[in-house]
Amino acid sequence: MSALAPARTRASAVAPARSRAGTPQARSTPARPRLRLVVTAPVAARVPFAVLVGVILTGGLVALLMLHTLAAQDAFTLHSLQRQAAALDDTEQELAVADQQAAAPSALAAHAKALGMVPTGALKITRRPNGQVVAVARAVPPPAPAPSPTPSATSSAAAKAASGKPAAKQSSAPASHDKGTTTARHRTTRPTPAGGH
Amino acid sequence: MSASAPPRPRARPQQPPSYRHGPRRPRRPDSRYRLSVVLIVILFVLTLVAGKLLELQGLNRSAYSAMAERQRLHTVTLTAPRGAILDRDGQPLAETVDARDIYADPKEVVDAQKTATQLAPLLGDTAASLLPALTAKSSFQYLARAVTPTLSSQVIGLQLPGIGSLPTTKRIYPDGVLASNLLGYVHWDGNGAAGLESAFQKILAGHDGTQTFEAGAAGAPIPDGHDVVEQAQPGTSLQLTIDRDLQWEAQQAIAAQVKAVKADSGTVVVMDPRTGRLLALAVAPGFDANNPPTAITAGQRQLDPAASDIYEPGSVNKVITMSAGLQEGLVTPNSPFVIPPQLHYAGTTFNDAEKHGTERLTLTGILAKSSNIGTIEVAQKLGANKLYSYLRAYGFGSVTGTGLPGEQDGILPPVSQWWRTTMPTVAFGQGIGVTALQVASVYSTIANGGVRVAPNIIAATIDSSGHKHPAAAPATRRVISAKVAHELSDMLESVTTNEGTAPAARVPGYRIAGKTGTAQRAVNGHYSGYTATFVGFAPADKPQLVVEVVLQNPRSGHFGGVVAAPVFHDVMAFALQSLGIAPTGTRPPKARLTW
Repeated sequence: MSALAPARTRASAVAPARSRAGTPQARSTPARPRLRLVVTAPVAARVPFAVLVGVILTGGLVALLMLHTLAAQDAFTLHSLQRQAAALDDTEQELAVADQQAAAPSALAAHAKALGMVPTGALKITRRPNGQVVAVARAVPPPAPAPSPTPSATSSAAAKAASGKPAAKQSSAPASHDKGTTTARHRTTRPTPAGGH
Repeated sequence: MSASAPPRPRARPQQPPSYRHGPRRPRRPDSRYRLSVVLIVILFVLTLVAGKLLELQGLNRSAYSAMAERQRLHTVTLTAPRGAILDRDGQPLAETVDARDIYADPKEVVDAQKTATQLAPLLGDTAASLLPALTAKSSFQYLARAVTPTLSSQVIGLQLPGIGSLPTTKRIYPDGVLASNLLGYVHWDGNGAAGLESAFQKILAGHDGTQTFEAGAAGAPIPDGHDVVEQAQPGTSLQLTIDRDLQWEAQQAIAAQVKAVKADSGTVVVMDPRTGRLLALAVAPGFDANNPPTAITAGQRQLDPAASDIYEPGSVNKVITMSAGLQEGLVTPNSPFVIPPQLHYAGTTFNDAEKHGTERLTLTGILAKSSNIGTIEVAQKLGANKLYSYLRAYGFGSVTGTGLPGEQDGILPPVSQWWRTTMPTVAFGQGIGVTALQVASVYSTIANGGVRVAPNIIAATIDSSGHKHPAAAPATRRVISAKVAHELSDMLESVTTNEGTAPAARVPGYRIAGKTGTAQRAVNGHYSGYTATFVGFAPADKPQLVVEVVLQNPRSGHFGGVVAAPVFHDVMAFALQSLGIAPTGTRPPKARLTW
């Protein structure tokens, strides 16, 4: 644009001179306009624009690539975390199953027996004046000295503690009755240690 | 523009010579010829490309796209977890856990011997037994089914070529033998094969789902790829009325007694008469549901004997005859009866279990001493039709409706088909067939003040989102009046006195009502051996528990009061203790057995 503007002014300046030159009078007076150099704007102004477009394109491309890479990276992370979660789920499940198997009646009974515990047997039931029902287990014969090798030091100690006292009453905590606490009496007569209900 | 414009006039004259001097005249046809050859070649190549395109996109399109999808798309089955079976406290009796199948692709296995040696200790197998699978001429062989995920990852961790694992599920019964008669077990595919597992298969199973997704070579899903999930619908869990501690105790007690008295089998039923809920249903011999023995035929394991074994009840049936007489106002607990040593009826001679002279017993005395002759005398007052209607009213001849698989209705022919001797024998419990559940229900009816509550075993269903849906209330109907039920209860208490037939059933501190039964067993059309029964309830004046013990064909002793009553005592004592049922503290009424 800037290159054209001066050209136009030049043309307008020349035009009247030419028309005069067409006439005989004009030929006789050759008033030629002075020539001067046309100043053109620098062409280099286009380069930054192209660079800018190039940068935007490249930047967009790189950003897209990075986004995709990140997404893929996230997918990998997700996948590996999911596997980790699944492994933890498996562990949790196995522990829960082991817990249930240990809490199953057969396992509990076997374990209690191994610890030298015996079933409660018949209860002696008395009713207190205040209406409380008290159930007391009768003394059970102490378990045979060593029917089987004791599993561990602690359990054999517990067995001794239990058999040592004649009052190895299996107190009836689980059989305690609806109308109140059986408790106090048991706690005094019971061997305090180990087993515990 | 400004640069090229000025020199133009000068440049033009120079250009034509260079233009003209280039090609010579004779070469022109040659270039045309070459041009057409190139054109033809290009066209030919383009035709090939177009043809291939047509083949790829048009003719074989579906095949190729299917092949591509196969490479990219993975479809996995989302296995619906099977519902659990819980006891009444929500403790699992049966549940499904994730597991893995370990397989071998023998074509990929590098060193079979070495692989077998490395796998053997993990899989708990010998190398020799693994070897055939590792060298088989196939591309897939199971090495171990349904192992734990931890074990599976240990196996995969060995990185043995040709060894892999597949996800699967496993049904586990935390206490193997506990209630196995009731629960049944599942096939290897996880579908119910017996017991409640089979009867409630549709509810427990749920529906499998699928997931279809695009995945890369490593199997990781491609982000933003095709991913369609059809969720699995997990199965519904069943909550039973069973108390697992009580169930265990009942199983222990009956298993020990079956062994001790050399019986064929034994059954214990524990129920709450007020709600009809079955708290325990124990059977001996039992089996481990985790390893159902293959030696037993499927038919034997299919059914719960408590609901499907039909036997002649014997003297426990006398209570029905008595209740009918009381309800119809024909007798009272103290009505006097003269009991001759023998009774001749319809050409048949009836005896009592123990020989005696002529006795003078009250109705209570007849029940306490379990006199057949006395019971026939009551039945004679009653008549066959009345007796039959009471048997029906108590639920004989129809299923109790627990939903247990294979439940039987027993054998109770209509009066029109009775022989002349049928009425007296039915009166004391021979000549009809019943199940243990039906008998337990009779005593529950008496314990519940004369109102029969249908026995039930399903407490609730629990859907996959954890919502509990209690089972419908069981059907109830009045069979006898509360007064008659109370009179019967008092009479049944006399059975456990020292004068009665079952002092062994007494639980110290509690009032126990019950009845012995020692029935002859019908085996293939003739009588052989005995069925020993004791069924009773406690506390007698405020019944909360009914316990029934049945032993089939005991060989060391056969009287119900001797072989069955001790089991009743053990189970009842344990149940009263563990459920925290206090004695009522009342004294039993003085019963008059003679006059």
